[in-house]
Amino acid sequence: MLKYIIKRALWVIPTLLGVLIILFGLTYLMPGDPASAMLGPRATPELVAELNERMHLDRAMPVRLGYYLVGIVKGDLGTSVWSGHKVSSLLAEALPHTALLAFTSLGIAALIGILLGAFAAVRRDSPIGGAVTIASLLGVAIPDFVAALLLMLLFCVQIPILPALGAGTDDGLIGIAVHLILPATALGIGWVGYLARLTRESMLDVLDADYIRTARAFAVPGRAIAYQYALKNAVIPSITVIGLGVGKLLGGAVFVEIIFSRPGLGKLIVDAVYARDFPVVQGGILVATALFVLANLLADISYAFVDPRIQYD
Amino acid sequence: MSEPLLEVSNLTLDYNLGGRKMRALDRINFTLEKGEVLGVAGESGCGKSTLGLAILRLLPRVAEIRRGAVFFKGTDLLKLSEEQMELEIRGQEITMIFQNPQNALNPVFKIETQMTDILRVQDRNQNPGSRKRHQHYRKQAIERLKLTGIADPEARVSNYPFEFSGGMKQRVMIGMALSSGTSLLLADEATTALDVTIEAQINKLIIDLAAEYGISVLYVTHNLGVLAEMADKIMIMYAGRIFEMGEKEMLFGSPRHPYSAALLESLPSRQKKGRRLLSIPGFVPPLDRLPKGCSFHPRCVFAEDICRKQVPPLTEVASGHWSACLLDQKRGRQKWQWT
Repeated sequence: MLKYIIKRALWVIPTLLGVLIILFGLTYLMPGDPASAMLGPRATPELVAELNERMHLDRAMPVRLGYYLVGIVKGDLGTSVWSGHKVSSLLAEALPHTALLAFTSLGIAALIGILLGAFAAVRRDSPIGGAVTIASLLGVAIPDFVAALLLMLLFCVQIPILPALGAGTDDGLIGIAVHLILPATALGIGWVGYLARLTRESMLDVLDADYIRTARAFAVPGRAIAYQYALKNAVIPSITVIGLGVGKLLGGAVFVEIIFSRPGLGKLIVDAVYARDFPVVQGGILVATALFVLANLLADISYAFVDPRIQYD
Repeated sequence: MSEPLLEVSNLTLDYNLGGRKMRALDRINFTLEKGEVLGVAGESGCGKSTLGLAILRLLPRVAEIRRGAVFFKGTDLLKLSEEQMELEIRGQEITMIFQNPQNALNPVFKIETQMTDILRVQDRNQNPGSRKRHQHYRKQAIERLKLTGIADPEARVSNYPFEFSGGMKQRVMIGMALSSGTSLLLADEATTALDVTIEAQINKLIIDLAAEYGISVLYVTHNLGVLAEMADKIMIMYAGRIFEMGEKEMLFGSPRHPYSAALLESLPSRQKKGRRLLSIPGFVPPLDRLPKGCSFHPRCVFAEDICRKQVPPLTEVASGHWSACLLDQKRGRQKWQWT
């Protein structure tokens, strides 16, 4: 198992490197010139040239990439063109908010979604099972930002019991938790529905499998058959989807962060894109990618725990 | 005579598939004595696997038992509650091993987990309130593996099913299914997925262990040759009905039904060298489009007008020998020479 984990973890390095190179290329294809953006419309050509030299923008692309990579190794992602802050400190400030939002939301959604799906499959003939199936469809159909707006309308305007804006960092742990409820729900509601549907389908398949019939033939209690024997098999597709879905989740987090005015990676990147603040865009996307790769790594590792056949492939 | 261990009486069962009714079992009657091995043979789709599943009430949801009874030690299993089936019958008195060992074990749990779970269920159903430790059941599982001829059971018990070959998986299944508490084993094509040498070993294991514990076996197979080795009684099924049933020697020596005779003639061992093996023309009809009269008549070279009109009843044609052929019943015993 350990060998598999190490092997799998080492793959993160070339993956990130590849992303970095593509990203580096893409940013420089974007229209607009960072030096003139930074210095404003009345900048003299001399000033622009000086800034280009300071930021190595006058050098060939591979050289710039080299500077950038060396910087990353040193923990330096460059400086924001706008604010002059270090990109790494901007990210360090934003990242915990996004990570907290994304992973609480996903974690709770996965737990609820998978259990609901399993339940709906086991009770496929009962009205409760049918209700769960319909409700999960509804969850899938609502986009994050619509859910966010509706929730805000309901719980901040109609029945004002929850805070609408910010991350609540000044009010301690309870403040953070209370400020997390609505954004996390908005972001997770689609996942609950999606994972419930996915788990229900694969659970229905698994419940017809020969090994489930074996367990029934030996009088293993129905609940153990469903929630141990079957669910461990049925949860495998959900793990893949969660791993791959972290990208989509981070995308959703951008909307949710903007709607709820939460500080975070999404808001940081979007603001930076509008401002043509390339170093921040690059750093932000790099960190988002790293999160994505990390999530996939975690998914693969949990795969091996769920399905012992994987690590031997 | 004492009560038979198993008495299936008039068992009739339909599959409801999208409004179509298919009669998978039609008036099945037979008895099985203690310690006896009954071989059930027939081509694919003749209802023989359904029979085993019906006895344990593990049928798919589309199946519906129309009438009949399954008396086990005098109790009609079809009238028991689901709880009673779990508490007293399944995995205790009656156990089952399945066709495809590759899929019959759960791929994501260790053999140890799957065996100890079953042993724990068995123990708790027999001795309510039993609270033995996992180690106890683990030892028991290792003993069962040893009994079925798995080398190094102490280490192998912690393996996953994918680390076992097909034959070894079937040994594991046998280890789960055969114990001193079992009275009846239902073996559903237990060796069909295995290669021939392994098949012989596994069959010997089943028969030896069953004999040792006095377990009766209902052995379902499409391979009549296997039954020649291991069965006491043979039942030939076709399209959901029993065509012929009797002691092995009687049925093999003088088959009374043309279908049985044809099956026997298609066995390689029975043919003289140099002659072509018999292949019965046509195939088993779909159950929702059974021909009128005897369901075998379109494939039977001996068929006459009466076969197309009348459904032949299963009749005792000699003591302990039953057959469902109108021609046989009309004219008496004759040699059904297909080639």
